[in-house]
Amino acid sequence: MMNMKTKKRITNILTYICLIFWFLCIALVLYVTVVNSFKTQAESSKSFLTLPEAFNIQNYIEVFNRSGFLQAVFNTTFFTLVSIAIVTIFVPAVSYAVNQTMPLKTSKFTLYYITAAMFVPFQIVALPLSMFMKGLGLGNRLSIIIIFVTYPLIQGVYLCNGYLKTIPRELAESAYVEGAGSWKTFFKVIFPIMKPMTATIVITNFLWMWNEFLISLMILGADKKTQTLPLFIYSFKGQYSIEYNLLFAAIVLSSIPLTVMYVFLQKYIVAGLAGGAVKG
Amino acid sequence: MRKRWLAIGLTAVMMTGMVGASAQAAEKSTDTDEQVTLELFWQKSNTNVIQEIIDKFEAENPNIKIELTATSSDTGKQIFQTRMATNEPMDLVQHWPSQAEFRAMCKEGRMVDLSGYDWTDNIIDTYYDMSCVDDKLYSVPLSINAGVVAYNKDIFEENNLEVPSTWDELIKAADTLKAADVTPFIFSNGDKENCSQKFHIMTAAVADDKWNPYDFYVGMYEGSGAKFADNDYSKKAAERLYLLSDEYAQNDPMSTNYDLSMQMFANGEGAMMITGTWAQSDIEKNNPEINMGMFALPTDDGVNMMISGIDPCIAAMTGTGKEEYAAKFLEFVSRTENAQIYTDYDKSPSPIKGVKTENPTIDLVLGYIEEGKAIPWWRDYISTGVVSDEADLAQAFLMDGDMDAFLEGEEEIVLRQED
Amino acid sequence: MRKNSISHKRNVSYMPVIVTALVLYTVFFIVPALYSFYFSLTDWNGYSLEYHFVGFKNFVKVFRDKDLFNSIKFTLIYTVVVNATTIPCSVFLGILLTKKLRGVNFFRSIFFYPAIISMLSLGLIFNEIFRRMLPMIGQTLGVGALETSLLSTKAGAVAAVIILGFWQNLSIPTVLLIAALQSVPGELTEAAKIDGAGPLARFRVVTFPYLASTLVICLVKGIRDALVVFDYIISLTQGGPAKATTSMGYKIYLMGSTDMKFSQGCATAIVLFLFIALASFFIMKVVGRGGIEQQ
Repeated sequence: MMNMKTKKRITNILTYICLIFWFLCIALVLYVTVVNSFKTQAESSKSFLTLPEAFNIQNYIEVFNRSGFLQAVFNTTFFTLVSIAIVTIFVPAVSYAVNQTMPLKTSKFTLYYITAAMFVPFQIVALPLSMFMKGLGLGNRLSIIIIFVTYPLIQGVYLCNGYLKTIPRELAESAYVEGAGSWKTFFKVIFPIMKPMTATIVITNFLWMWNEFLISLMILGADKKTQTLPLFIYSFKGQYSIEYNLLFAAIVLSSIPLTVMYVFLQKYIVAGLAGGAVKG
Repeated sequence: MRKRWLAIGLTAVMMTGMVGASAQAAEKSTDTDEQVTLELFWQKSNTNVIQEIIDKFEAENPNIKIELTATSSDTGKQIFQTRMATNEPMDLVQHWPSQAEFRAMCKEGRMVDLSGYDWTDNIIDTYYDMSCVDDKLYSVPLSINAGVVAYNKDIFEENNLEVPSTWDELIKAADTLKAADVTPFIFSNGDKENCSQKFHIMTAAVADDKWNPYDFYVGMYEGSGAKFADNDYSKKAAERLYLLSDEYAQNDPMSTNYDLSMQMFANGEGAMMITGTWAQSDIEKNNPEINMGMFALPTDDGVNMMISGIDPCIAAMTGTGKEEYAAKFLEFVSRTENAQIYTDYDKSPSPIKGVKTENPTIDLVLGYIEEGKAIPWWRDYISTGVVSDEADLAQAFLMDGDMDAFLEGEEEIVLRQED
Repeated sequence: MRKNSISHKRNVSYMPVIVTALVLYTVFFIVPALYSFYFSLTDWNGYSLEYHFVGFKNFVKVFRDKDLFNSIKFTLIYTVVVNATTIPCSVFLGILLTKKLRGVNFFRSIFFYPAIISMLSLGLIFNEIFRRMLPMIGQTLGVGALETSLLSTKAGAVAAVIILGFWQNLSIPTVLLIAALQSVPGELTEAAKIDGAGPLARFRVVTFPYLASTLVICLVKGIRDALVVFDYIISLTQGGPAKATTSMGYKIYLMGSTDMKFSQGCATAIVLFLFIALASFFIMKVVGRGGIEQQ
């Protein structure tokens, strides 16, 4: 008995050692970023790791004063929220419609058609896409939202498919027979079942949209009115030199909205992601 | 409207069999309204100085307004490309006449040909010629750079060193520094572009009256039939560069990128650095108090050639319908008193006649420019698609010192033709 | 008969969604992709307004491109190593994080945090860490191995990109696996314990079946993200030193922009796509549980 207890204790200690080790690996990177964002370039060239002599907020003031920071926060939030709201309904609905309401052969073909894009490097379509978008003349904002809504389909439909095939087609059909309209059936029966998978898709795509760089650069260009945060951050990197203390301040500042959101929602995020993986 | 039609049309063409088609430049009708707004696409970070010039211009021309589109040079490249591809020309564009994509756009007639304007006489002849693409002037140069050696005056003084005037003196100085436990040279081999740049600087620094890199390499590219093996200059340049990097550089130069090298130099961690005049502002940003100077890299009997080129320039684009107004701004920029505003801030030598550069750091360098010892960055005049390949090659060379592979590769790059 | 007509009616009401999705996907993905195929048959440099039809010349160049093999090699090494390390490690961390210990929730939320930061920012941060911080530590402590930066050798730079990939890509699988692990019924594990099964055998027989579908998701996502890796490269190594870390995505990007070989870049991308499609076909066959095949 005693032996069991000691054994358990040892495993617990080992567990903590492992957890703390990985915690330190993460914390170190964050620490370096934050600490150096408070230093002058001259100061951090002397010592990269130590705490700043004085918490110098000059970098933050400069980032804030560079035109467009708040605008970029607003734009990123706007693009992300609008697109994610659509994706939340759209991806599960499409997946469901393709998976369960089409004849088997068409369904399979459609799935192959959509998921074929999964492994295409995005750089191949980036320039033609932006030319095409400009040609259509939809405007910057709409173009970005269309892309943010369309591209999650590729992986989303694939992921949902694996999940949906465990749900018998009869389930929705019986609900329908009981008198619910088809969309009502979807929202009442299917959507709740798919919630965990939807959460996974929403969270990963949210992060993608928030941090997306290349598409935004090509579509939005230098337009300050629609500039997003990643573009704002990258503008600190010049042809040869990076003003990296400023850059770190910009990175820290731009992570604040998401970090705050994460602190408040982390329970749901972690639970949501966690649920997605386990089939109902 | 026209563009929308074009895109949809293109798609239709493509989908119905993908027959080769070529897009046509859309020409807009000229708008001759009183008030004109021009877009100036700016890729450098010094937006405040150009804004100052713009303000002055707007005061003189109340009917023309100039809006600055500021980008950084990294994102600017991509944005420039997208806008070229989608044919959305900017009225005025700041670029670098050495860069392949800019030259390609000039060749294609996307930039306004300025050769006919009288005011272009105000550009110093050498730099007028350097700005030209196929013998036509498409841009107004704003400042000049040169490939030089930056040195820390305090370290030189502490070790009783003078600015070396020959290669042997340079090596002797480096030996003295090494013996005194001072790193003679800081290398930034982590940046591949820096590696090829240093090689280019070195090729000018082995030139004499029988050989200069511009004539030799550009001649080869244009079909002179010469070979690297015909003479020892290329080998000499490569050997000398490798010697400095291998023997006299800091520990692990491969891990040092451009930023870090600026910082190390600013902090006095090394006495010298092969770089361009543009490095001055980056070094001073790290240490405003530094006591530094720049000198031209000497060869066996002194300085024969120094590599030099145009840094930023401004051009006007065709197809905007506002070319005349844009040219007006270019004329304004090329006036001595206005170019002086730019130079006062930038502190680099100016390609405009009569502009004074007040910058003691580059005193030694200015002399050579005035004496006409400047030759262009030759790489800009060979095939355009070689930039990243050459940078990789030079980096690999400084890493492993394989001379034969390097020279073979360089020869292939110089001879490579546009396809 | 009646049932058929009902399901037909029901199916019809979903048509708008399917059509919208297919139109969006076709217009904004397939069409641009076809555009690139079209451009691959031309000599377009990515800037000009004019270009000419050159047939399959660009494809010939792709197969003559001696660097292509290197960038495929790097991308495959990155993909295999990152996935082969993150997946087992996330299972391991997941097991630790499902233990009933104090502070586990705290660790869970911290361990997810790396996923929040953009890949581009992380690349820039790690650049400073590898170039400045680690050599500085090495010099202070006199650890010879640390004094030279990882980014200064070919193999080191590959390792550096992998380290960054590992650091960030561990977060999402870990959280996904926590839930899968929580779904393993405790009684089963207990029963196996009583039967005398060791921890490894218990994992293999009892736990693993509950993880399988999650692992497939993690693997598919992990492989996808790794095969198209771009942001880390542009911000951490710029493909160097001496092309050692030029991933396929980065190579195509370079060809399309700085190298002014847009059409050859398109041809390269198509060849790589076919290559990946073949590879993923086999992957799907092997790990096909989550795939379309088994519908």
